[in-house]
Amino acid sequence: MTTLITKTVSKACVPIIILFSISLLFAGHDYPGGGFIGGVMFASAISLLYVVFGLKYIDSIYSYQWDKWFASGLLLASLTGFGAMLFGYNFLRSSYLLASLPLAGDIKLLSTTLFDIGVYLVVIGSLLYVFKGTGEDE
Amino acid sequence: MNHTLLSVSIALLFAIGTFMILRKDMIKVVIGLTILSHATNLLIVSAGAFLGWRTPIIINEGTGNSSGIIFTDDLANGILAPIIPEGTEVVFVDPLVQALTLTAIVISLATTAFLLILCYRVYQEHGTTDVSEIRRLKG
Amino acid sequence: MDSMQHVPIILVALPMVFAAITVLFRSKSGLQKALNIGVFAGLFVMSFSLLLDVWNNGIIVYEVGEWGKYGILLVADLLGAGMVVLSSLISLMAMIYATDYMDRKALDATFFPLFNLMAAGLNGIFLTGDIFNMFVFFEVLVLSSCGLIVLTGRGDHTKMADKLEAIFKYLILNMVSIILMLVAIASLYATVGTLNMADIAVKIAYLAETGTLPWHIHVIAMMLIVVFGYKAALFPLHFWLADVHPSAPAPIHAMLSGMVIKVGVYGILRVHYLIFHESMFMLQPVLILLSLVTITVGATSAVGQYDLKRLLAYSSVSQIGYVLLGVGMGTAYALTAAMVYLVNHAIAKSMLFLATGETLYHAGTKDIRKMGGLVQSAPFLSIIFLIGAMSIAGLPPTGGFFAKLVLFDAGLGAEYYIPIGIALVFAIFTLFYLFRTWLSIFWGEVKEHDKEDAFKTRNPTIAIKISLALLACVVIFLGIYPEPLIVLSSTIAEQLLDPQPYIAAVLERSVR
Repeated sequence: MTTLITKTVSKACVPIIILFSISLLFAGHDYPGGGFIGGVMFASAISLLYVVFGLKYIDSIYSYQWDKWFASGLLLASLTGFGAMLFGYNFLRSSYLLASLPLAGDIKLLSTTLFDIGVYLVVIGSLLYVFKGTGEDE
Repeated sequence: MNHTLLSVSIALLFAIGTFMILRKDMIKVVIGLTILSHATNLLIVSAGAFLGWRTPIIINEGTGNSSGIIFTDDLANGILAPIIPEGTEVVFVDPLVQALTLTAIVISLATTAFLLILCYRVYQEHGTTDVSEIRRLKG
Repeated sequence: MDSMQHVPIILVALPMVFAAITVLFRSKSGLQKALNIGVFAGLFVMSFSLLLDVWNNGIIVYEVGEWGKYGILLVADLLGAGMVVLSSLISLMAMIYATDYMDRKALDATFFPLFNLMAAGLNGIFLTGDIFNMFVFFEVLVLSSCGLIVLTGRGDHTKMADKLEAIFKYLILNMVSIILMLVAIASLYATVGTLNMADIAVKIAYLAETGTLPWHIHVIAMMLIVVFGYKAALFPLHFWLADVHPSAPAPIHAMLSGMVIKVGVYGILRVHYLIFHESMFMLQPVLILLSLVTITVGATSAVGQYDLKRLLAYSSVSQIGYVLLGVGMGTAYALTAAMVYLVNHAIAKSMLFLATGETLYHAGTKDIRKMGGLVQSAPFLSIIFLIGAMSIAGLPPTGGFFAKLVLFDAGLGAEYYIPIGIALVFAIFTLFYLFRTWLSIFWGEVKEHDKEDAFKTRNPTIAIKISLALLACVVIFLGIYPEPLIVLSSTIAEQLLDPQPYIAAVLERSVR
């Protein structure tokens, strides 16, 4: 799979896919998107890199420990749930804040976004951990 | 028409999946399970207020037109929640079934990943993916 | 604000948090052991205080995310809270045992995160008030237990190839049953339009009152009987258990046979007695018949076994038949008996499996015919094994005696003479195969095979002894002073037969 065409195309595509996955992550409260879809898209971009450039080359640049991503995502998601208890509400009670920021304009700051980021990390971590684990095996 | 086609395709998927999980090759069994779970996902989607052309997302937010009537629960008139009474105009369809389907998809993704890696490991240990040859546990 | 308010969600969410934390600190074994024993002890204390609170103040309803009855509700009634206490007790003991039993490699790799997820799955199933949520926790439980079965411990003579084969069977059959459950849930949702079990119960009662109950409600009830019967290893669906359970290392085997198959019984008690009142008249005879066949098949298969773990696995099949016999008879007294039997079997069986793991390690083989005279080198294990065998066979002064007594008394009171006769005959079978096993392992001459130098040094460590001794104390306590358990069980049975307080508590709290 390591032809010049695939290498060039994936170099151009992967940043765009990652940006799109992040935009899906933040879109996902009132519109299509969300942590799971965004995470799957991110994981597919990275697995494209793994397929095109090979595991060893990617690892020689930087060896990601995807299980840590997975664990921190799970931790973030569950602690978001506990966070509501600090304010005297039930577990996973969500709230939002309408704010107008400079440059970004009027936006809706949701507490569920933190949960979604947790899901995003869990999906990326678990998919790529599986992918890398089977790929490394001889 | 729409619903008949949907029911027929769900039934067909269930049939194909059931046939596949009775095959001898482990990979085919796993494929059969994924087909079965897709059939189930379609069944769940069709279980809610399903019209085929409405989305579960509030499109015209803020116009005041987004109040859902699908949540009305009118026991006195014999209306149970997601079933739309005749001649009612709906703005969006029941979003709960979509959430259920997403959950089911995520779970079947995890299980399928697990099963495929299991098949790979079984192949490493036993040297075959034929179910009839992998029968060491007896008695 | 009430300090007890958040306990139900903490019981479910805390193990999940610790599953993540234990992944982050994977290689620090000593820290992990202390942390996890602390967490599980805390969960046990919390679940016990939850049970006391439910007993004193009635059913506790917790709205996750405060969405009313449309969101996910956790409902802690006496049945749910009692099962959580049982599962926390057994997982605490299995955790203490496992810290010394499991291989260092297994402890470093995946044991702690998966065990935490398994505890979260169990607590979630017992506390949830939402039928789809129950399905999600089933999946959590199944996937984490699959990961735990492949790990190895020191008395574990099962080859990796056999473990993988067992998991493949377990997972494929589980997926099929789970798909069946999803189909049932989807049909239920299409019929009544809600997933909250109390709300479903209200609507089905309304449909039955107006005479418009669709016939497919009965089909849904049967589908769910198949699903829960698969989980509980009811007769035509019992064949996987004897392959899967013996492949697991001893602490996981104790969890699987002690708690995970009880999940099926809990499902029937919760879902069918709450929702499907109208269908129970045709399901009860089926349940009684199938549970009798389960008792028969399990006991006769166990008699012919020489593999110790497999023998005890078939014994589990047979014993779960007794529990389901009580569930099937369906009178208040019979349900009391089923609950008493369930608790006693869970504790005694998990103790027996923990002791078995250590016995296999001590003897260096899993074939009963090659063992003999181990009472000289392992007196502690022989006593623990004897107490467990006495409780399962139903001899005083252990808890199993009262379990069988109450069950047979309930059966005779409800005039089920023939089923009780059959159950009694196979209770004698149980006595026979368990004591034959005990005699051939611990009594008699020391076999040649055991005279190696190594085997006398393979003794239980302190942690293993503590967990076994504590469980033995509980078994003896239930035999000497069974009143609290019987009173609790009879209250649970009354609540099951009259679900109005449950429905009222759920719907009153959450309508907004």
